[in-house]
Amino acid sequence: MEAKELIKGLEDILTGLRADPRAGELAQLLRTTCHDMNNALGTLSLEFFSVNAIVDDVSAALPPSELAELKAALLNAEGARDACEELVGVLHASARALDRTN
Amino acid sequence: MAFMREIQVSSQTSIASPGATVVIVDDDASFVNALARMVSERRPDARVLTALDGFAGGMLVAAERPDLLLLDVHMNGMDGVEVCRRIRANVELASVQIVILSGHLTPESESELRRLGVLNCFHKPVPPQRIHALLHEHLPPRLMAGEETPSGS
Repeated sequence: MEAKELIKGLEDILTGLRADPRAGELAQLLRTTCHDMNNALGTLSLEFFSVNAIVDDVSAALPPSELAELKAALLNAEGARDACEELVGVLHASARALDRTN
Repeated sequence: MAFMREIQVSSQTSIASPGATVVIVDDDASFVNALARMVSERRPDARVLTALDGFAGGMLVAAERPDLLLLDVHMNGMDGVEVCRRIRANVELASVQIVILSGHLTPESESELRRLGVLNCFHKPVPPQRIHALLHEHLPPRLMAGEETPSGS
């Protein structure tokens, strides 16, 4: 699901939750989830940087085709990490939206 | 001293040298490992010490008086804001530079942390280039091989 679709779906649900007395609990749960995911994404960010640096260091010793494959795999994984960051942003926005309604 | 209490301190020393000292306090062990490795790689002359909770981190800071503290906020037990308060209440730790690396910061906690004199607040995930920049900006210049340790350090 695209982030925009997710935002739309969440907005619909949040509208229905505004009157629920437990909306605050949900907002807190979302914030905790975002925090934990940001920790994991922080680790990924540092590790990708380290792995890229190592790949650059050993690139001369690798066959060009394998180096290209390795770099493509890293790029793909970094794209997946970026997608996760975007989704965390969506969850965080949902928590803020719930806060505003309580 | 505010942090002196009988507890187990979870810390490790990766490199012992007369250079700068960096303390990392975060309850996410994976992040701590990655960050400690990055700091050691960037500044091999530095001692990198770590703790996995606020109280242990505060004790480590009180004992080691690091040049730079990289501190998380949301941790079980003592959180990063309270760690900062206790450090700032101790005049002997006035020279410790504090940078916040947090997965979630409210405007209120960020405001309180800045009032307590932290140098900067970063939201995770922090771009590695920012980590490099803050090490460059806030650590004493790297000692070269054979160079004398500055007196008093």
